Amino acid sequence: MDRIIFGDNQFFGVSHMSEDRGMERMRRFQDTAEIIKVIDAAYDCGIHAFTFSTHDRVAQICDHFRANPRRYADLRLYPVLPYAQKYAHLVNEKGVVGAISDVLLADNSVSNVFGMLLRGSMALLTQDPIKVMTILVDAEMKMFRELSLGAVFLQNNLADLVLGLGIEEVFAAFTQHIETRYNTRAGFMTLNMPQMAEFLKGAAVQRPLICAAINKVGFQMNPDIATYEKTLRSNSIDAMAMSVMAAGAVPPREAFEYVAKVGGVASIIFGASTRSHIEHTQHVLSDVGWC
Amino acid sequence: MLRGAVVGFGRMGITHYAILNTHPDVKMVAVCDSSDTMLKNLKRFTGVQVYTDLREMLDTAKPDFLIVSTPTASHAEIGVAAVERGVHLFMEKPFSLTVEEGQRLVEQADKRGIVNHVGYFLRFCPVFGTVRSMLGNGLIGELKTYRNDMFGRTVLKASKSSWRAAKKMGGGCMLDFGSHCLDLSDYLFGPVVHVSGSQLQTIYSAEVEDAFMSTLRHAGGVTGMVHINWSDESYRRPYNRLEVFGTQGRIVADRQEVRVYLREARPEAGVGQGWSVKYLPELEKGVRFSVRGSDYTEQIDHFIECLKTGQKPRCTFADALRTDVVIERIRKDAAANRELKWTA
Repeated sequence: MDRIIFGDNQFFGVSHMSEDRGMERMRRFQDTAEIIKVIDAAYDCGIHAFTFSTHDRVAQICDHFRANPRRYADLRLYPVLPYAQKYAHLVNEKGVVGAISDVLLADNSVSNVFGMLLRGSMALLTQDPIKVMTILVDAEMKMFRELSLGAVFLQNNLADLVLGLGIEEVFAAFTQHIETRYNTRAGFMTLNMPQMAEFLKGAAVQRPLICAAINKVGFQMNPDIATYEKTLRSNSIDAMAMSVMAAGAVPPREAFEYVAKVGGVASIIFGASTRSHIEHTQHVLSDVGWC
Repeated sequence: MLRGAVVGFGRMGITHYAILNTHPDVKMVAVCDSSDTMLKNLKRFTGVQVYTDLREMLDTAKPDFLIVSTPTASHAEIGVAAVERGVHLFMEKPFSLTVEEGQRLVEQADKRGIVNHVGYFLRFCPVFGTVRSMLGNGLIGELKTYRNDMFGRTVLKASKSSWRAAKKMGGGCMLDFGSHCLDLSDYLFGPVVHVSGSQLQTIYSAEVEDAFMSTLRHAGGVTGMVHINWSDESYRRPYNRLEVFGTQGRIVADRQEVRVYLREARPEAGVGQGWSVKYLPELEKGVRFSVRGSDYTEQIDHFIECLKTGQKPRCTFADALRTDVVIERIRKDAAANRELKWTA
């Protein structure tokens, strides 16, 4: 497991602190070359692990990685799927079932492999929904082909919905598919880490990899910070910490010190938009004894 | 244990179900939807009873409460069926397609003592809650004017299949985005008494509006402008922005932060002179289980609390009906198209 992973929210207009800041970053990074400059800065600072959503523009970044294998010889990617906003738009238009059906049909390689989909993806969705899920995973994973993977995450909106619905089969099947097809670990993002850890135990996912907000002010930590700390100290999961600075509510040194000392955290994800910000963060991480 | 059921298992229905399914005082007993594919899978993986007929579900599963997350056009009929059977109601927004049917449902629900709530979740957004307390405490003095905007990329092309593009089904941005903002105006500034300057625009849809603006006057005298557009691709997701001007300062808020400008410091409220900012991480509290953001859980748990204690819900049918009335007035105002004519 990589100790430090570079996040991608800042590139695609996601800011948990401010909508204005998100917009401003979206403008700044609308040219993919600007994103690659920041990625290169991180890589040259020794951060070789990156997490990416399956945003359309990530496909271009992956093309760039593939075109320069020597430059990125030690690269490891941690994809997060599916990209929620992409599906949200389709669901608005066609409803939940219609959206799934549409994605299946839109993907040529998928409809070639599963000729029956052309006759009716609805039928397959009724007969074998787990199979449909693996097809959707493969469709989203295509952009990462030939690139080295650290783990593949199920995005929190979907993972938490499945958790709420209580469907163990989805987590078990996702884990199995990622391990066998991609030869890497499956992970789960969540806004409810303690409940997710408990539930995955029931779904027979051994020592699950869970990515969640972990910060000293309890931001996006449900139900509360004390329950998170208890789960972390139980040493039953591999935890990946994001939102460590709680969208800017906690100063960097204080933020990383907390995560370094709380115990049970395997990796930290952080995002930055400039080389100096990356260098500063690394400096702080080393100061607090993280690496 | 309260027995819950859902009718309409789309995005909001699934979300509410997942949140309720983890509630310690609730047992979800049934789901009704028109999609056979959805129901078969739900039954297979969760074991919950599924129905395609609402009345059959209400009569056999006998829920204590029903979550209604179907298109707006069906709300009145579903509401009446539930009320007749004494089933408490959480209805997705907007409340009703016409004021008459909404009015009847308000009366029937009140007569039968049905606990009723409408899903205007912005009332549970911590930032707008903070704005409401600030306004209530007179932080920026006497309120004069405001702007209440909502933009997003929900409709970016003409659609034949989506209910959002169909007038009869309750499509259009007025009922979807617009109702959120109009309810927020009601929540923050009180009932609307006058509507003027309303303009509706179609952008991609054939039968319904994709943008509108309107000027509202509230009972307390404050006036504000509402500006909505759900066909703007430049927004990654739906975006709300509120700007309120008072005699002592100004408040600018979206779902993630609130900025305040004060002419003079208010030490007792902990706010200094000039600009100050509060961000969501300071304002948001943890919830027992969060899906797609904590506001939905705050809202549903509040409804369950109302069922248990009999307290009045934060957004009753009667509250939401006021927004339906304003929507109707805006449509009339826009149709009347009162413009001053002049010659060059």
